[in-house]
Amino acid sequence: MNADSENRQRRILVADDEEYIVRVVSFKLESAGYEVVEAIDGADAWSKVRAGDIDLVLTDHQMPLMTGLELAGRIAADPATRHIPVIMLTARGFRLDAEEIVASRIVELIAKPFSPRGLLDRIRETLDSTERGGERGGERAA
Amino acid sequence: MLDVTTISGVALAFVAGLAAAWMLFGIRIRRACISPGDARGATTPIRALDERLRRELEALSREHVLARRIVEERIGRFERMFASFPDPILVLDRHGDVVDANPAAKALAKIDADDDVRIDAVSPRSLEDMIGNRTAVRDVLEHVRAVVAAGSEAVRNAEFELDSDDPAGVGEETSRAFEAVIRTLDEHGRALLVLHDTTRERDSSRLKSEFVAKASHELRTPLSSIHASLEMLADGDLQDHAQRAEFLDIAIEETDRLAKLVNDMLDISGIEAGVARPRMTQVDLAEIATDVVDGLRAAADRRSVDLRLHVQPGLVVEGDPEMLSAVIGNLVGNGLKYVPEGERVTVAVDAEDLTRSVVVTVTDTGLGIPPGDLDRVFDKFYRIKRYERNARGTGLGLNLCRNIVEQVHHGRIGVDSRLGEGARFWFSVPASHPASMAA
Repeated sequence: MNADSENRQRRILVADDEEYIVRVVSFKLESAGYEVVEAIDGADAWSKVRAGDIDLVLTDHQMPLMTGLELAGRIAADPATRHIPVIMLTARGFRLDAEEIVASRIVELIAKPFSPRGLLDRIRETLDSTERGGERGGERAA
Repeated sequence: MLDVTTISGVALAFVAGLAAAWMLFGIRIRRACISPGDARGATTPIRALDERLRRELEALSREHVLARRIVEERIGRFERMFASFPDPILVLDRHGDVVDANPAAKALAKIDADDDVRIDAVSPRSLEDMIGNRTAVRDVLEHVRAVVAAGSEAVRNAEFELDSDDPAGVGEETSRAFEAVIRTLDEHGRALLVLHDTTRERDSSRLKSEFVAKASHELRTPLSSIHASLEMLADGDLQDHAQRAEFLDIAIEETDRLAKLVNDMLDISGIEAGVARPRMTQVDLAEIATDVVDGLRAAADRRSVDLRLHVQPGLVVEGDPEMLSAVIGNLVGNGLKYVPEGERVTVAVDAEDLTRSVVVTVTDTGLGIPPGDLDRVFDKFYRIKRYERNARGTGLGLNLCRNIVEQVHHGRIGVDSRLGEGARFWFSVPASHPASMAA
């Protein structure tokens, strides 16, 4: 696997209470050149997000201690973390209502079972668009 | 001053009274009036007429009494039905006010049956006063207007929910669901409102939906790992033998988990639907417990768990050996899975004289179960929050145990635990043979 040098600096937090899912996703992302931070539940994920240096959060929805939706809500509500895009893995048919989309700022819902290949593509696209959006955001802030 | 009307009224009353007197005492009057001299010639036709009238009158009187009794009986029957009907029934006048309500309806309105509160055409009550929910009342009254406008035989159905202050469901859904049938009652524009409590059906339907949602999540989780592992293998992401072996192992393990989940789901649905066909025979529970413990000995050793067995020989029950073995296997397996390394799991099979049953207990020296979780550990897909990380099972094991013990073997199952002091899971099955009882 050729590591993508452009992605080498990106850190992705993978949160899921299923160790095998964390393992396969981490393997796929690391093979693509990303650095992976693993979290085993919502609370663990939140403390690692707050510790800083996370470029994207990929989280399961149903997790102990804090659901993926709650985690996304906290990330969106905290000025220090609100720039971090969140992709959530969910059951098929899971929908966010308008209020939740605004409150959680989740950029993508991906239904389980998922394709690691497809997931990697979505993560790349999200990071690219966030980078462009982030620049615009910086202009707005300034 | 008496006017003409009064006089004629009095006269009429007098004549009517006379007629009645004649009808009642006619025979006697006439007998007294007719002289014995003309009795033979003139009285014969009069007597015959008199006799006929008397018989007709008596027949009419009997019919009247009978008809009245029938009507009274029917009214009494309907009143008893109205009073004893478990569903609330309300009679509404053309304005939508309640002019009659059975005890169930009064109970809904929290009117004490002993209070003898009057609800009738003279003292009507508003529907909102009776059922307390403005939105539901508006909806129901709209239907009432519609059926009254449509005339006889018009029927409408409505559904609504009422808040319940029943403390039984603390923290749970406490509203009650009702289905209302509204129909015209008579030509005076009155309507009948019958409420049927559908809370149980609603809750059962919600439970089914929750089960489907949870089952769907539990099925997708191993499927995700299997799909991802195989796709990475196919894509050539796994470059060396060790990586391929690791991800193939994940796929195999998750396939087994999926198979067990599907089997547990099918077993539980089979028992719940009453289509499971247990093979009942005389089962020595001590023997089964020994086999299960022997089979799990290696797993216990791997986790350095001290697995002990205390059995009384010859404790026989009537049961399905495979199912009972699955129950003991699940309870011991849980013990091994959740106790920290170095702790102890003890399996015991004893006779219980008082209930004439055989009791199997699986006691561990692990972390214990929080009090709030004790009642729910036998629910489908229920997981104790603090142990969720350890859970590699199907989430259905204890529910399957409960189904096997209670539904198939008419036994009992339960758990006692204090946080930090381990847990004691137990089940008892009626002893089938006096020899199985302790001396």
